[in-house]
Amino acid sequence: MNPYHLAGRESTWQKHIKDIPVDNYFLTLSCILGSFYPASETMVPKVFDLLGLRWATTHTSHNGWSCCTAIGYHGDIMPIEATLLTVARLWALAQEAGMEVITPTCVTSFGTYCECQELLEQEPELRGRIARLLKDTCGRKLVIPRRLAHVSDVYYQHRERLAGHFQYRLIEAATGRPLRVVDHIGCHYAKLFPQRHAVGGSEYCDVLAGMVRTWGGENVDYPERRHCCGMGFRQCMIPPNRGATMASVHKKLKSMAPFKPDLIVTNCPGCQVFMDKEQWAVHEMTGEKYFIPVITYQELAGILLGWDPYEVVGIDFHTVPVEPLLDKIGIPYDREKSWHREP
Amino acid sequence: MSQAAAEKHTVMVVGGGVTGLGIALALDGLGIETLILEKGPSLGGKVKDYDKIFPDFVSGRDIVNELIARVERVPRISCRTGTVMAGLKETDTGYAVSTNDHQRLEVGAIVLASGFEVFDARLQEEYGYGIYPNVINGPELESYLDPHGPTGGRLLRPFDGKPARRVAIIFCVGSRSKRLGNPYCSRICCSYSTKQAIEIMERDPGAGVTCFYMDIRTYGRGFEEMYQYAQNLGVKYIRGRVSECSVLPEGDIQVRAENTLLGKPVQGVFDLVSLSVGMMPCADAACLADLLGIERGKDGFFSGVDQYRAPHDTRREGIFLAGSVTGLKPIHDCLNEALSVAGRVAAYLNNHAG
Repeated sequence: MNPYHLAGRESTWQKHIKDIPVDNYFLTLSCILGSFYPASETMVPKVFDLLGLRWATTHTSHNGWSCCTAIGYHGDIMPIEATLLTVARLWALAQEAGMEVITPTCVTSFGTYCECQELLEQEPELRGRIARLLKDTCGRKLVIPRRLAHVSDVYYQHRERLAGHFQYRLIEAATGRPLRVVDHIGCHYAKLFPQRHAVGGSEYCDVLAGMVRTWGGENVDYPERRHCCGMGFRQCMIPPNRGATMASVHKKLKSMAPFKPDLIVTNCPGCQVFMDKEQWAVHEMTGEKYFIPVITYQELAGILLGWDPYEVVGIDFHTVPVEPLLDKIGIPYDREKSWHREP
Repeated sequence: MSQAAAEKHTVMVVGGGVTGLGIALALDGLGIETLILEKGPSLGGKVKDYDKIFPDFVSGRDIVNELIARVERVPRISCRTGTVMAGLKETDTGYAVSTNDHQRLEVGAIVLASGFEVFDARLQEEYGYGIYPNVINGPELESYLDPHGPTGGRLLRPFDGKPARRVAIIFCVGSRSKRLGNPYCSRICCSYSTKQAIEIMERDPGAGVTCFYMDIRTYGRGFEEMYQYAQNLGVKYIRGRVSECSVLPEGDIQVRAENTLLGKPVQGVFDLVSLSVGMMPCADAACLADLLGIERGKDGFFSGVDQYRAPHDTRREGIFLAGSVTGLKPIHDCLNEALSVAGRVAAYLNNHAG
């Protein structure tokens, strides 16, 4: 018996329906996701093409793409004005590519774009200053994008079409039981502008939970569901503060363990890194062995599409092994392709 | 087809709750004929569902039943249930009212006593009302404590029907909240929740009731003593806002809060969490204001022309306000208002006798 009313929860989600554009995405990449879980980004264009979506990107230095600077802004080493100017320049590049929806893979970029959009819309004086600086420094025109969407919004929007291409569902092969899935939402996706930019708001965010349900799994609600992963730029970048990160992950794992989740799915590069890698640190420090597989929604879609777990989805990059999850779903894989195979 | 002749009444009272019943009886005492227009299927309003009311634990249901019985015995009072106003026109002698059932009424004066609505706790999403079965609201707790209620007066967990002995009550849900658009204090919630806590502890001294509050506002005669009695019974009061409720695998509710007196975060696990919901203007307040051409304040409740000199008068002559339409009041205050508005209406009719 579920200790919650599904209908009640869904009615709460439906209060925060977000109008997600269906096409014309300008894809921007994360500073860290491509380093830690590279396939999470390389699979996005493959999925966009599979669905026949119109999209573009530009991320190489010769055409002028740069970091959005949010990592410096949230680390308190960069003022908001500098971030506003940098973001305004990136938006100008997207406009030149003819795409109206800025679509980052990183939730901190997404949160920062939302914050910049809000500031520039509501502060005419600031808008005038940034427009003048943008023109003076690089001869570009300030255009505030009408639409912002995180890539997880795009997957959510097209979750049913995507499921039509799947070879597998979130079902345990041996028993037919729906897998129990914890969804962990990046704070900068759901907590900065929950009313305007988060599917389902911040309390019962639906962006990942909706994918899980559509793809056959069962949502897990647990007390620390909304707790941050503990990454926090001031924690993860300053070694004496790292204990706070591990403590946060530990708190979440202890809270979710009684619900016996089969996997954790994330939409934030930072959360993915810390929810996955800190499980090993927790084990080393406390002896508690959780080892719940943590994968991004892109990786989840990849394995359900039947793409090669090692060569395409890149599960070797994970600290907590993903193979037990593949075994549960009944997805075959060739150990010979793993870096970690026995010699 | 010829139109039926209009039914004539001296005064029309909109709302058949405790205030409306009190007004009709008070007017009858002054020899004035009254029609009560009630939108619900029966008279009695919300108080008919209250087994005990604060601060003296008498039966709200008995009070209402007695009022209804008196109303039914009085020839000068008539009632229409399931009826709402659909149109209003001024006439030489007062107002012509049309109703949803196509009746035409001619009345000399109108008293609005249409009460209030309970805040929809689903809007405070972090508490999980409507999602976690063991999170209920104040009126639901009232019904569970009622011997005539769905559980026969036994406090049971809705999730599994087991006895609820660890109970949390969260005060100020949907009141004193700028975020939710209700910045005002609902005035009665601290007291009705304290009354409920006492009922739980008196029936089961081994139970534990924890109240999370912002400030305790037990302001009326006997209210503070009731609050002190609750503490003597062992009801715990923790000053601090609850940040969230979450569910545990067996349906228990984990409550997390900050104890602002100790300056520390606290959390506890409970069988049942009751949200002490605030009150809001009646659901059709905006329609009534448009229809009657009278004003409401920023809080949505109706406003009289002068709360000191003419608290019942609206800017439209012959239309008066009483009870919780001007802000929440305890039951005896509503009954006092019934008496005072009756006097004001009688004076108005006396001065405007055709």
